[in-house]
Amino acid sequence: MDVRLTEDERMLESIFSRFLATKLPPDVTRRMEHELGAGEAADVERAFDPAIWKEFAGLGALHALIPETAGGAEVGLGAAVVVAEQVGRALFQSPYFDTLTAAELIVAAGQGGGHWRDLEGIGAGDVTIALAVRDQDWDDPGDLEGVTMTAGPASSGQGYELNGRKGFVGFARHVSHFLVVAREPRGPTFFLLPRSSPGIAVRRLDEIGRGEYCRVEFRDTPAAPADIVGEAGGAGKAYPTVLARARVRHCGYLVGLCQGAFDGLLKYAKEREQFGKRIAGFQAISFRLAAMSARIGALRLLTHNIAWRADQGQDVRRLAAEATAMAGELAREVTAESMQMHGSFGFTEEAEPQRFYRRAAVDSMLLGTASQLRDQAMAWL
Amino acid sequence: MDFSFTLEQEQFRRDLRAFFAEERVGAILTDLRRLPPHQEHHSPQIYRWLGERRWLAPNWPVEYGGLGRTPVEAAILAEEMARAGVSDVVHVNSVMIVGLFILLAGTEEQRARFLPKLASGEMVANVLYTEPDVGSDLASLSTRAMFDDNGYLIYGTKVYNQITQFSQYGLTAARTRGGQNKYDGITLFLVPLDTRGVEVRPLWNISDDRFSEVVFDGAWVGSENVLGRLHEGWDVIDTALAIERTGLDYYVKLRRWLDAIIDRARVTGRLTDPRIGHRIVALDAEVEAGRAMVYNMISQLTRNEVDPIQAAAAKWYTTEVGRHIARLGLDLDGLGGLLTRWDGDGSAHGRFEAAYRDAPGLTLSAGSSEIMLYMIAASGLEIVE
Repeated sequence: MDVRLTEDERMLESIFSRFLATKLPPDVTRRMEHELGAGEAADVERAFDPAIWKEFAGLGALHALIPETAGGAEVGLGAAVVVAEQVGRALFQSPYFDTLTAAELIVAAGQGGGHWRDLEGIGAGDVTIALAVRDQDWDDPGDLEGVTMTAGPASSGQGYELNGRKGFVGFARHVSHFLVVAREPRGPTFFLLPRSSPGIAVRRLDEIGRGEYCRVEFRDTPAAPADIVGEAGGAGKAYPTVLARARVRHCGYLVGLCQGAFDGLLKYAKEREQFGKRIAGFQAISFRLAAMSARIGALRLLTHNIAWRADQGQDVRRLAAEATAMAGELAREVTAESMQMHGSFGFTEEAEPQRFYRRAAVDSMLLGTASQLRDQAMAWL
Repeated sequence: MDFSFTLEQEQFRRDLRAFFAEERVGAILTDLRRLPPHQEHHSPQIYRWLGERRWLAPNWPVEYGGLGRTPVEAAILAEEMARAGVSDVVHVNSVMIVGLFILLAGTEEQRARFLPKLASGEMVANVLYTEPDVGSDLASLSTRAMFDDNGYLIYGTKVYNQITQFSQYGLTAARTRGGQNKYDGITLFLVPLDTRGVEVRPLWNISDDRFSEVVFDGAWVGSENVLGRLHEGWDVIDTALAIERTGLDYYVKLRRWLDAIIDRARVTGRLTDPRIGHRIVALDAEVEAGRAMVYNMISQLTRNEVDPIQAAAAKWYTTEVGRHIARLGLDLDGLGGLLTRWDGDGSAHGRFEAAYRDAPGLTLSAGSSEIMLYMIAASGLEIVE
């Protein structure tokens, strides 16, 4: 028992906190947000800087988390949580988390799965993947059984044709591949397809986070049996475990988001004076700040505890779902408290609180709404 | 982060489970549940059985009746006691608090005189701090001790103390001189409670754990029972408060309550009702977060570097979660959940109404939630004086 970051984890923390603070400070990440109303015409180059991405990957952000058997330097889920925290703190948006999740599905499919060779490119940052799971925006990403997008036999007689659409696909205009769930005659199936495949139309959504979420339409998009990740009809096999691990990383991201919002708030409350006194000194403020810091600390330890359990080979599906619901709610509360305590200044475009507040709205639901997550957790009680 | 137990620690847990599963233990626990109200469900017999094996204080050195193991073993004991339904109130006060004080501040003679007996369960000691006018502001206490004949005469009243009815000694904080400030001049005494001039009477309260009032009217205690330095007792109190504040005893209670809720909801079929199920899994995450905070503190204890701010956060967080669990327990069976264990129809053996009566004490004992938040704000965030 030693409830401290390991040496590896401390090293990753320092590498990525330094990188993100230098390369992606708030004024840079703010400029990477799209204008409200920019819609599908939003400048594709604005939200994603390939040079920064290459550097991020070069530091081992992906490579470090890929299994050794696939040429990576697997340092465990605990280490992934540490990196995720730093990413959340900086509000750095990228195809990072989707790509890691896709990599884990490829790993789960095994060396004979056909996509094994892509893992090297993923580790280097050359292959980036967007998950395309939800058909409707409100669909539960934990439930593949309801998938309606189809993978029927191609009219040519060779392989499949994919038809349907996916909502809230991240960085769909930037990634090299999509990992799509579609209904094959035997059931829901994962296909890894190049973004340049025929019959794919991408439309950026104008959403509160001002980020890169898109609707992706597939019309008679051809796919070969070799594009399948795992088995035909077997999407639901490895997915729950891989999704649980993705949720643990996401909890780490949300811990970082909370901490980033809180640090800014604490600094402000120590400087801002009203009634001749720093507002942090008022009990109405100080007790709420104290409670928030304790709750963020609790979420952080819980997240690391679940990561540790997963690294021990324990089944963490229920805990991961429970914790993600808790993390999403805390992120919303902390960012809303930050809005309140900053007053009207927090609303302004140049202020950070409103950015954290908007991001919390998106990120709290990305891997399931609180009620979807709790529905799943309940079933595992 | 490494949350693992050693093989030896895993074995200790299995040994404890095997012991608690013994028929003789089960028989006592069944009898205790049938006791009339105001009879506390403490079993000196079970404590002595644990004591025989040196399991009551596994983290204490061997010469003082322990196993010479780590605070992790002490935490495992607390978890397993709660799981078995053995009341821990005597253990927490006598071993974990008073025993810790003696380890920290006692002379070699005092350690040899008290610790082996506390560890074997043959002696029980408790804490006498709070007074009618002194609660959270403990340093303002007014009980006096005056030097007299190589000892001290104590005058004053202590209230809301626990397990006094089982205790042979009370760790008493009293003022030995008017100091420059309220923290100066406090001294700790281990007072034999059968001394002339000590009167104990019950203060019946809402929970199943009785309070007592202890009146000292010139009770004499010898100098050999002064614990720590004269007039400097506050430093010991301050240190020990931080160390005892791991949240452990609260967490184990929460886990037990929530497990009882889950069991009961499974029986009644409400586990699949989202109105109940969602609340259960939301609280389960918080209890597990509490456990991670507790083991963070235990891990710090094993390294002898306790962060009092994180300790305050662990105590605050776990006990606040406790309130919500108590409310959920009460809602689970509707009005049926209000039936006490003395009602023949009581569906869950009165567990949930008992938890509801117990819960308000969690956020008060060992430093109230308000004091915890103050500590975090003042020393952690440095935003209040």
